Amino acid sequence: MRKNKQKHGDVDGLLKQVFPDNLPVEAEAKMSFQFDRFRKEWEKAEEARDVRASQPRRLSLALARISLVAASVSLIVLGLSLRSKRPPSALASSLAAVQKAASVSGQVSGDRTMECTVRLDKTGDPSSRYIIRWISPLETQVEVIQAGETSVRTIRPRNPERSVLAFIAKDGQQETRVQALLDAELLPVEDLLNSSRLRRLLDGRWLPAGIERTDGCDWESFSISKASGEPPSRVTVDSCTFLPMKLEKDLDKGGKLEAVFRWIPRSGPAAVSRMIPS
Amino acid sequence: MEDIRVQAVFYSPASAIFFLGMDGMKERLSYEELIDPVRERMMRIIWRVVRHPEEAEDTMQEVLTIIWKKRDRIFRHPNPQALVLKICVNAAVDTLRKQRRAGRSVDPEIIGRLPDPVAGSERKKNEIEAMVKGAVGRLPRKQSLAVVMRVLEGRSYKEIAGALGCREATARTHVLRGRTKLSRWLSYLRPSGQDEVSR
Repeated sequence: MRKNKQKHGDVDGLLKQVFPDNLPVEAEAKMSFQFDRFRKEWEKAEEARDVRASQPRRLSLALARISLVAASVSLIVLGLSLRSKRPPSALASSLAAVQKAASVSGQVSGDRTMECTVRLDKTGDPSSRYIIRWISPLETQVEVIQAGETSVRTIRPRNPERSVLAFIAKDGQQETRVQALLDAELLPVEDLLNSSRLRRLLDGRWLPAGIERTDGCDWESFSISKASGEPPSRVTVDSCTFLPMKLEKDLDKGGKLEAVFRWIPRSGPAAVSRMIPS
Repeated sequence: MEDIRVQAVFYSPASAIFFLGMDGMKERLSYEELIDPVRERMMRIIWRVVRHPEEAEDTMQEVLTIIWKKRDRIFRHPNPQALVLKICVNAAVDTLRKQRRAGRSVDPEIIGRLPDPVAGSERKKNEIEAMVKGAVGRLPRKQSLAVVMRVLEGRSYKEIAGALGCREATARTHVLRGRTKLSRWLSYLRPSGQDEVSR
């Protein structure tokens, strides 16, 4: 190791001796002259390049600036025109309707109780009134007022997610009793007897019908058309709570159904008991 | 680069595009920025290796031509001056190799058969120089570059590695192998090599 170090030291010494750092003045002068010439050529080339490049660059920068400004202005104009447009474009309104339908469905199936007053007008028959109360997911009370007589019926579906009528029709033992309870008088309001059914009723193709401004919130009207070809329903939604406020439906034989909803958040058993009329 | 990021955050996107576009033109170096800081070292290293006025001039010409042709790559290099100095060493070693091929240096294989330069003392200085030049020129390119940079320029292994584009350990190996070969070939001329030769 030491021997190697000595050998390498000798080699280094020999190299430094043979290649001393002693640049002669003449060689330095010649190489300096080369450097000076190189500097001049470099500067000349750079100047020519700058002249060549400056004009297109200035032009392209100006063009880029103009196009950016134009794009910004057009975007601002587009934004302003979209904001000022009333009623909104067909695309925007249909999107809004889909959004609204989703929100309403969500709210209806939420943890709420509902009281609904239904007025049923049939051609040639006296009008009927129903007061429907969702007392709990397992209990619905219907007050039927016909020809000045009032009768109260309580419906207790076992599975609230299923339609009350579907449940009744498939329940063998209770069928007779339920048939008696759910007579033809309740059929017009079958879609309002629980949240699942109402949600299904609202689940259709919504088309904006109009906006009625109220204090604080807008009530928006939509017509709901079903694929089955039923006559369209018209629903009015509170745009603050996304809950349906009114439902109007044309019946097959020229009749008309109008339901007015009142929604109460279900915060606990006390709230439920308050809803049940004594 | 850091300035660009800061500006892009605070300016609007349109301003950032303009800023980046204008700053992109600044990626060139002037002659003063690139050459002036290393001009002296360039002349010294070329002369030190070549040691011939006309050939040093030619080598410098070649170096300047390479710099001009590859200036875009040099500007993008993390250490442009180091790259310029590497070009100088490379060109100087090339000239040594040409000298060797032209027979103007002495092949190390025949050094041992020449009369003893120390003992005879008649051996002219330029003959010894020719022998050492021949030996350096005969080394593989990377070894000769590494030895010249380490021994004559006194550069660190890290700098040599950066110039050769290899790891520091590899640069050490190049220097070690170059020194070992030179030590063997030039043992006749080394003071401690006299014993080896006589043995």
